[in-house]
Amino acid sequence: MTSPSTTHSAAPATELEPGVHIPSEHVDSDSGRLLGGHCEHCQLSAYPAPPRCPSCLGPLAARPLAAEGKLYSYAMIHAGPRGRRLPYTVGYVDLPDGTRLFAHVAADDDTHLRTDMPVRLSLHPDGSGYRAIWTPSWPSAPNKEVADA
Amino acid sequence: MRDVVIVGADMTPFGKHLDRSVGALGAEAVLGALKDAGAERSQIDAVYSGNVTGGMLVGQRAVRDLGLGGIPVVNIENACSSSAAALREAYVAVGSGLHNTVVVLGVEKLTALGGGPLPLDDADHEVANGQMMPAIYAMRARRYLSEYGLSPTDLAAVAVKARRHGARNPYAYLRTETTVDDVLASRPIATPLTLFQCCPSGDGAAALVVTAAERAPTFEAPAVRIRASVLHSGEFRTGFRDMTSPDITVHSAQEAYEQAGIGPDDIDVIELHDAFTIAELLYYEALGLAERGRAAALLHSGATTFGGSTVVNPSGGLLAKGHPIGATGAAQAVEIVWQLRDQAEQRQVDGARLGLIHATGGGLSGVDHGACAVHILEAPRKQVARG
Repeated sequence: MTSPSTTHSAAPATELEPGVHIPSEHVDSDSGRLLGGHCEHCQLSAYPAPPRCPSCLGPLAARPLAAEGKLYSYAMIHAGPRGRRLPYTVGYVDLPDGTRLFAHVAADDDTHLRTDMPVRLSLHPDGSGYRAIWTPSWPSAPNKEVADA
Repeated sequence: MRDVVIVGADMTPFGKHLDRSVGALGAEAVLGALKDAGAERSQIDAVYSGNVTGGMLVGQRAVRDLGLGGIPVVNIENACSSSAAALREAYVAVGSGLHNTVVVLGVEKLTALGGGPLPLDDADHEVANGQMMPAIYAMRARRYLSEYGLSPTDLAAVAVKARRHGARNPYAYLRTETTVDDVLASRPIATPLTLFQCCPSGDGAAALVVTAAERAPTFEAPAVRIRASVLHSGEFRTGFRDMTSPDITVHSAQEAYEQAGIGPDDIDVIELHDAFTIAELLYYEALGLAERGRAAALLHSGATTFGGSTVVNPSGGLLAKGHPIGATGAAQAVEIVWQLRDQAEQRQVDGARLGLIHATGGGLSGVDHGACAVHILEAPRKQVARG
C-alpha cells in the first residue's frame, strides 16, 4: 500500500492547472478524440482502458470516445491536495455509449452548473500530452444553490 | 460456526494526541479492553489490528510491550473500515474454532500526516487527477439534492445532530454544539460540503476482546453477542452508477439482517459511517431506515436522535467524534457494546437491545466503496433472579 511519504514527493515548481492529464498516445491523431478501451464481447467501454476487460478478461480494442456527454454530478474543490491550483471543479461525464469519465469542468463558479447538463470536451496541448476540460455546451443562468422542495 | 461474543471494550478519547505514538495509543486501548474483560494475557490467542497509515507491524507495535508476543498478530488494512474488517476476522476465527479468545484493535495517528485531505493512492487515475474523498461525497450530495429537491440546510441538520450527540460523549473530539447557520457558513471544502460537514481527522484507538459464547462466563463483563458479521468489497463499474445509492452498503446490510433474522425496524441503535453529512442521509436509505428520497424527513422527525425509534450515532459519529480512520470500526463497536450494556452514561439509548455497526472504506475509483463491513450486536441476556 502507498505509504504517506510517496504522496509528499518533491513539490512541482508551479501548481498543476485544472484538467485531467491525457498522455498523447490516448488521443486518436485522426479524429482528435479520446481513445477508450472497448470490449466488443461485453459491450463495455472504459477510460482509462484497463489492461483487460474486467468482465470477460479478454483484450480491449482502442475506440474513439464521444466528445459530448452529460454531466452526472460535479463539485468545486476549494481545499484540496497540495500542488493544484484552487479552486477546481471535478465531475463525472456520462457518454452516449455508457462510458463514465472522471472530468475537470470549466467553471468560474459552480452556480452555472447543473446535473445532467450537456458538456463538451476540449483537449489542450500540455507538454507531452493534453489537459482534458469539459465545458457546458451552452451557457445557463446561475441559480440559487438548490430550490426548496 | 459457534456463537461469538464481545466481553471487553475500551477506547482512548479521539482527538490530537501529538505526543503519543501509534503503538502507545494502541497499547492503551488494548490494556483497557483486557481490564474491562478481566482477561489474563495468557488467555489471548491472537490479535487482529486495523490501521491504514501507520506503516509496518502496527499491531505488534501496540502489543509488544504488553507481553502479548508469540501469538499470531494480523495487521489488516481496508481503508476507513480497517478495524471493522478486523472485527470480522476475529468473528470468523473464533466462530470457526480456530481461536478461543482474541483481541481486536483499531488505531490511527492522522496528526502524523500533517493535515489536509486523506492521501490516497496516486497511481489511481482519478486521485492522480485531483480526486479526493470530500469531492466524491460532495458529488453524491449534489446529485441527491437535485434528484430529491433538498436544500443544503437538510445536510447541515445532520452536522447539528452529530455535534449535539458528541457534546454528551467524553470520548469525542468535537464536544461543542453548532447551528445550521454556522455549519453553512464554515469554510467551503468541496461544494456543497462545508468544513463542519466533513469529519475531522485526529488520533485514537479502540479495542475489544472477542471470545466464544461458551467461554463468556470466564470473563467479567456481560457478553454482547455478534448476531451478524458481513464484509464486502465494491464492484467495479466502468459506466453509469447511481451515486446516491451506495450499493455495497445495501447488499451488506441486507445480508446482515438475514444473518441475524431481523429487519431494520428491530434495530434500536446504530453507529454508521457519517464521514460527511450526506453520508448519513444516504445510509438511512441504504440501511432500510427510510425509503429513497425520505432520509431528510426521517432526520427532521427526530426518529434518529435521543428519544427516537432508532438512534443513529449516539457517540456523535465520525462528524463529532472524529475519524482516525483505522480506529473507527472498532470504536463504533465499542460504543454499541457500551450502549447494549447500559454503560453509555449521558448518551445512553434506553432499553437498547439490538445495535448495528456500519463502516465503509473508500479511495478507489470505479467502485461505490472499496470495502464495507456491517455487524449486528445483541444486548447481554438479563440475569433471571432465581426465586
